[in-house]
Formats: sequence, C-alpha cells, structure tokens
Amino acid sequence: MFSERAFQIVAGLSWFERSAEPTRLADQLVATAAGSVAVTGVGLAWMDAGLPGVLVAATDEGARRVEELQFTLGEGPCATAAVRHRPVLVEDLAGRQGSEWPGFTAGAVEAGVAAVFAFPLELGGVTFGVLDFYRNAPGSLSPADLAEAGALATVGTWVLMHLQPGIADEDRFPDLTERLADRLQVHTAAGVLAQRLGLPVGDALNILRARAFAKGRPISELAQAVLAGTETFPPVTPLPPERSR
Amino acid sequence: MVMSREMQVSRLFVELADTLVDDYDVVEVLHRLADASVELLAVQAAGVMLAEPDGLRLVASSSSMMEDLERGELELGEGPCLDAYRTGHTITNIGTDETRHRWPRFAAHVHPLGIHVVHALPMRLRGQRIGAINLFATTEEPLPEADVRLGQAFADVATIGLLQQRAIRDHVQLSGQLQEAFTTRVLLEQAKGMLAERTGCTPTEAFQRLRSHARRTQSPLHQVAQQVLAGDLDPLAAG
Repeated sequence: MFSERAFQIVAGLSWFERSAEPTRLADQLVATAAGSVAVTGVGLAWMDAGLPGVLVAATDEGARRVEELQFTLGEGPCATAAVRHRPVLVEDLAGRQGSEWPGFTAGAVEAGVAAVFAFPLELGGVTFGVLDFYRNAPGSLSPADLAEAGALATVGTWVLMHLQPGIADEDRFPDLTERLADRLQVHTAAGVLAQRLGLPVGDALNILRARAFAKGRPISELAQAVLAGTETFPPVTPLPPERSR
Repeated sequence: MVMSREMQVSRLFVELADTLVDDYDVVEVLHRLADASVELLAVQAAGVMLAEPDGLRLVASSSSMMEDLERGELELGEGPCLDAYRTGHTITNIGTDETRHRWPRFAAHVHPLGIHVVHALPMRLRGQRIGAINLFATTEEPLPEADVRLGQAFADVATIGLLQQRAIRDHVQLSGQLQEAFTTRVLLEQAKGMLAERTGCTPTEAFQRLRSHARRTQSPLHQVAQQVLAGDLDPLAAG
C-alpha cells in the first residue's frame, strides 16, 4: 500500500541524481531504515530461485551475517516471510520462536543477533525480496516502528523493481553478479558432491550446509574448496535395505 | 457531516493515488473519477475513454445518458475527446457555435440533449497518451480556470496510476521470468558439477557437453540438466 509515508521516504531518496543507480538507492534505503526504526541494522535482499538470495544492501556486518546464515543453512525468518507472504517478527530469537530455525538461530545468537523482523517485498503475489531488520537486544517493534517498517518495505519493493531489469548485467551491477556467481558455485559444488557420494543433489547440498555451519565458514567459501579439491568428505554409508516380512 | 469541497478534492486525489496499489480496479477508479468530476467541477456529465490498440474505448461515464453521448462520439469518429486524445492538448469552453463548426455531426448528436458547452482533458504523461476525459455542461457559463486546472490534475493523477499499474504488471512478469531463469541456472550448475565429477572433465567442459546435447536433441537446457541430475543421461552420449 503506497501510503503517504512511503511517498515521503521515496522523496527522500536521490532518484533524480545522475548517479542514482538502484544499488545506491538500496544503500540509502537501508540507511534510512536503520535510522528511523529502533533496530541495530538492516539488510535488503533480492529473491533468488524462490528463496531470499543475494544481498543488495546492508547497513552493517550483523545484517550481512543474518543474510549469509540464511543462505548457508537454507532456513531463517526471511525465508519464512517470503514463503508465507507475511512479515515474520521474532522479538526474542533465543526464546520459543527461534526454535523454528534451529541452525539459523544458533548461528545468529552466537553472532549477537537477539531479534529479527523480516518483511517480504512483493507485488501482484510475486515476492521480489526481503527487507530485514535485526536488533542486538530482544524486544518487539513498537506500533509506530511497525508502521514505518511497512512503509519502508513498500519502498524496498520499488527499489528492487528498478534493480531487476539489470540484475544479470555484469556491467551494470558487478557486485551483485559476483555475489550471484558465488551462490551458483555452491550448486556446482553440490553437484560434484552428489556424484562423488552417490547421493541426490538435495542431500549433498544439506551436507555442504551442515559442514559450513559446523566449521563456521560461509558456504560459498566451502564450495570453492570443494571445487578446488581441497575439501574432502568421507564416503556415506548407504542405509541397510528395508527388511521385507 | 457534509464534507467541504476541499476535503472532497483531497479525498479524490488520495483515491486516485491509491491506484499504485496492486489490486486496484481500473474501471472502478475511473468511474470514481467521472462521478467526482461532476460533483466537484462545474459540469453536469463526465466520461473517460482509454486508448486501445484499435482506438479509444469507453470506460466510465457519470450517467447512462453520458454513456450514449460518448458512444455516439466514438461511432461518429469526431468530437472533443478524440481531439484531446489525438493532440494531447486540453480543450475547454467550446460553446454551441464552435462545436457545430469543429464537429458538426457530434454537435447534432449532443445539442438536442441540452449540452451547451464541452471540454476534454487529455490523459498523458511525458509523451505517453493513454486516453481522455469528456466534460459536458448543460449551462452556458464557461468553466472557471481553477476548475480546468483541477480537472487536469485529476486526469494527471489517474494517468500516473494507470501507467504505474502497467509498469507493475511488467515488473511482476519480469520477476517471474527472472525467478524461472535462476531456477534453471541452479539446475544447470548442479548438473555441471555432477557431470564434471562423473567424467573427470572441468565444469566448463561439462557445461559445453550439456549445451551441445541440448542442441543436438533440440531439448531445453533445464530438461537436459534434470536428466543428468536424475541419473538418466549417459555421460558418454552427452560428450
């Protein structure tokens, strides 16, 4: 809903400057968001094959970590928000809510993230991305902050829409295409591992995720190691066949 | 509480601006525009026409009589709305004599029903012309300048909303296409890795093999990728 507040936020971004590339607008948006909502940091991610994917802009390392964890583990509040088409508000990650994403929560809490508020960015039923806010102390968003976050999410959708046409264009958005390439490499590594271990590729991906999480390394780094041959995996013992009566 | 004219005007602007919401109904909004024009401007009938590939189409009229009058204008192929759309210029305060002079058949059609003055406002934005608004009056007085400006402002906001609505549809469609493209890329990367490991070639060579197999068998890439992932494709045949 393009509220008056959303209009104001849009007016505050530098749409008409020459250098107003959408990635710069995205940087401005997350900075604005971190300044107007009582949170520690904000990240804006674009959707990638059905899940929140490439980070388009982030205010700090914490926001980057929140996003990286979700990509590594394939789970988290942003992913849930995208799937449910509704904001996911986790005021206390260490509490009951956090149990929905055991891997993500463990990693996030360790990184000092106490609360996460994820807003899906969508139009016409299609999810374009996610705007996520995090705080290093637990607590819910005030009604005013919730409304503000909603307006920011509306603007986030518009920023992403302007980003979209050039998203696969290396010359326009070299950072983004590089990040995307990193992501895709994870899938190549999963294919290699699947073949090596004689597993379906989905299982291989999960093994990669688990190893990355256990070692505390970003999964894209691990993928590169797999492709370079420097990361080995023990063979997987096949389960015994089911006994028939 | 009777709403003041200022409040009514503000409310209409907000409603028209709300067309930026993805689930709005074009016809409903333009009906609101037609009705509000009659309420807020010194005219007795209003109608909105939008451009289609084969010409203008009637979308909303403030009354069934107005609908008939506008249908007549379209069928006759002459009239203020058509001119405003074609030229992109505002047409205001055309009295009976000038109407007869500019659009004789249209004049013969509307004058018997008591229409004395006609106006037409183009719906356009930076070169894009999407339609026009007819405003008809049964009184002799010219429309105050303020009303003309207000009417054009309504038309402009509605135009922006419509154009944005189309842009939204395009973006949504693009988003769907991009997501599909990336899903295919994911499958391709996975198949590349699998094939490379299976045959001992590099991922780049593996990709070439996938591509030439797809070309040879005239199958889409994502299908070939899926076959590799399912273990259905003999890697030697893909070489």
